[in-house]
Amino acid sequence: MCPEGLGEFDMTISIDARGLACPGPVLRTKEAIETQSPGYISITVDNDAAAENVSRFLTHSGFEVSVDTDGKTSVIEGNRPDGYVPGQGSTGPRPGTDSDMDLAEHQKIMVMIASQAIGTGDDILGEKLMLSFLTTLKEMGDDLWQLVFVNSGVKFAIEGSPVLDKIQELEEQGVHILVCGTCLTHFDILDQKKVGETTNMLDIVTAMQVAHKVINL
Amino acid sequence: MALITSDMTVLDIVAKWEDTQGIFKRYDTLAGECICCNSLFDSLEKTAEKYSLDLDALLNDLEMAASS
Repeated sequence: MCPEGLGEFDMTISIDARGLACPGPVLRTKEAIETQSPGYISITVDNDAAAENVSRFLTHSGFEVSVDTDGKTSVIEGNRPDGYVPGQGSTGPRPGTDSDMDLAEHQKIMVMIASQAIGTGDDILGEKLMLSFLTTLKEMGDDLWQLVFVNSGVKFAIEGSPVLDKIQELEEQGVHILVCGTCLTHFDILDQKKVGETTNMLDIVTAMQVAHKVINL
Repeated sequence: MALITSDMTVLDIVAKWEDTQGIFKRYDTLAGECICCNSLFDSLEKTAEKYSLDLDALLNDLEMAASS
């Protein structure tokens, strides 16, 4: 079965998954990626769960993902940076990117925040440094790809966090914010999360594999 | 030998055995929400733990659907 709207010559895929209940949109996306190996894919869905799951699946699959929504319908677009799927060869050029030189201008930097402080020796100083780091992180610009919070770092993503607005700004600018679900549950603050996508170790490991650079703090 | 194991994700299972979608839909009532919407990328073990489901029963039902 081929997805509707498949572009046969430019290796782009467009799927209308409106009206499909979960896991339909993800399965359609998965099948299309596995059979066509596109460099660009666009999926239209009409519910939040589908939008989130498709976005997550595309991210797992090495796509850079953007979502455009009008509140009812969401269009999830994925560009695979190198247009390559292991074992399946190059997929050729993608629409919306002028050349590989454009891609080369931006790295995909993943930053892991695994504690409330930077360094050891003085906890108060360490916490000040971490807050300063998170506030300054935006200076990475478009190179900042994913910001991942694990262990006590997840407390930066909850209600009352002194840098919550900074992290929300980064998310609005397109940075993927991942927050460890196991960690939120451990600290019993799952319902207090105010930014980012609740994630698991598979997401984190996959993101590490895709990232050009991983910074651990 | 079992086709389905507890470390497989919900997505792994529904993608490979379409009939298992009906099993998850059935368990939605026990879970209180749509499992395929909210736990698609979780392992069966984690899903069962999250919703306090009987993992052995779920594995058995999925296995039967996958084998049919």
